[in-house]
Amino acid sequence: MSSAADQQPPLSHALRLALESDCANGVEDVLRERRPEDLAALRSLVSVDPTIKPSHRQSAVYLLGRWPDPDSAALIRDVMRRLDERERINAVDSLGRLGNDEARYGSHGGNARPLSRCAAFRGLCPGAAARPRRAGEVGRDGGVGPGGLCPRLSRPCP
Amino acid sequence: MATLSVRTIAASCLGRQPPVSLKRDVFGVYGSNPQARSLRAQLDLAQTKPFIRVALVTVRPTGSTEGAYVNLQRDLDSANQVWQQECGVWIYCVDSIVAVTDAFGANGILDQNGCPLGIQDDPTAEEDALFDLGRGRGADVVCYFIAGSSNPALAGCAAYPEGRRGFWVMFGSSQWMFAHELTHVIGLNPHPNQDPEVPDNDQDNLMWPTPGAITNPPPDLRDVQCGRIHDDDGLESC
Repeated sequence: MSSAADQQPPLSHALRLALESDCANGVEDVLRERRPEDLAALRSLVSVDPTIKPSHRQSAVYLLGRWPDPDSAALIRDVMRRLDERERINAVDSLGRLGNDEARYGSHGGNARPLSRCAAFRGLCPGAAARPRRAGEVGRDGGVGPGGLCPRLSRPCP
Repeated sequence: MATLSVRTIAASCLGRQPPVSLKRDVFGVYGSNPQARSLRAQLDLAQTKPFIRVALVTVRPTGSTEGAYVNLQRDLDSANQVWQQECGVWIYCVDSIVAVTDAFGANGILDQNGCPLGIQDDPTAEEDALFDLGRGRGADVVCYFIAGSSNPALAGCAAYPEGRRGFWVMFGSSQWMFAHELTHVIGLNPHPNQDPEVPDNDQDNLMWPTPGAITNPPPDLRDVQCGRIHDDDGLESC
């Protein structure tokens, strides 16, 4: 049986260096260059396959959220539920930056369910109640009063 | 050379007025990293070598009872070791504070935009709030020890809003991360693969993009990198 690592496109030296970098400036080069082969390689790393280093997966998710190609959203959505909480924050942040319908709703046919930062927050914090939205205030889910306002992702679970 | 008193050197070289604390005002020590520290050597350093003033801020979420970052003195001493050995420049820590704030939520995770080298043109509200902390303490460069940013694989960043130089380092980072980020800020030194003056494969170098994987520590800095540090407007001399 082949692993995800066997199937993934080879990583260029520059991309490997960026993925190994723990200084945030190191991943900027990838976004500056935006090579199509790097995009393909990054997408192959968005998997919970144990042969993929978690730090590579995290940086791939981070980079895909900052790479203006909305097709990555489905990949991130698919893997998100199997990430730990700390990685999920990263995934939600990336989906929020992609901000397209796939990031927000996903492919659920006629039964689309919003997956905004707010929804993800509630997923992380079961039972969390949104605070009341003030008149005219726009929530992170794009909604405008008088419904609930998405709490900030980094707020404590109530 | 005439013998000057500690008080005179602290005042004339470091701008410290009595009462003077040897530990804090002369050595710039604000944490625990036990080692022998020579007063004579420190006074000589203050009189003869250029230095940069740095303030430290440990960021904790509201309700936290934890104090300053436990490794801050180790990181500062490591940076001083590299800068003094390689470039003849020292780092003077002028203050260290703990900022307890809800600005970054309960987990203290920073909402970070990209991390360009130097000025961040598009800081998030949280970056803006972070780089407001620790100002007015006598240093134009501030280091923030924080819980991290959205990507847990990234442990430091030296992109700062214009006019507020500084950088952040994640708790638990390599002992060289502080020095690495500081050297991004002072002299705008890039990583080797972005620096035409440094070989791409120089993994002994402080600016290697993964400071925890630097080979043959303590890390090196090349003359050209030291030259950029020396040219920084923030450097002072007695």
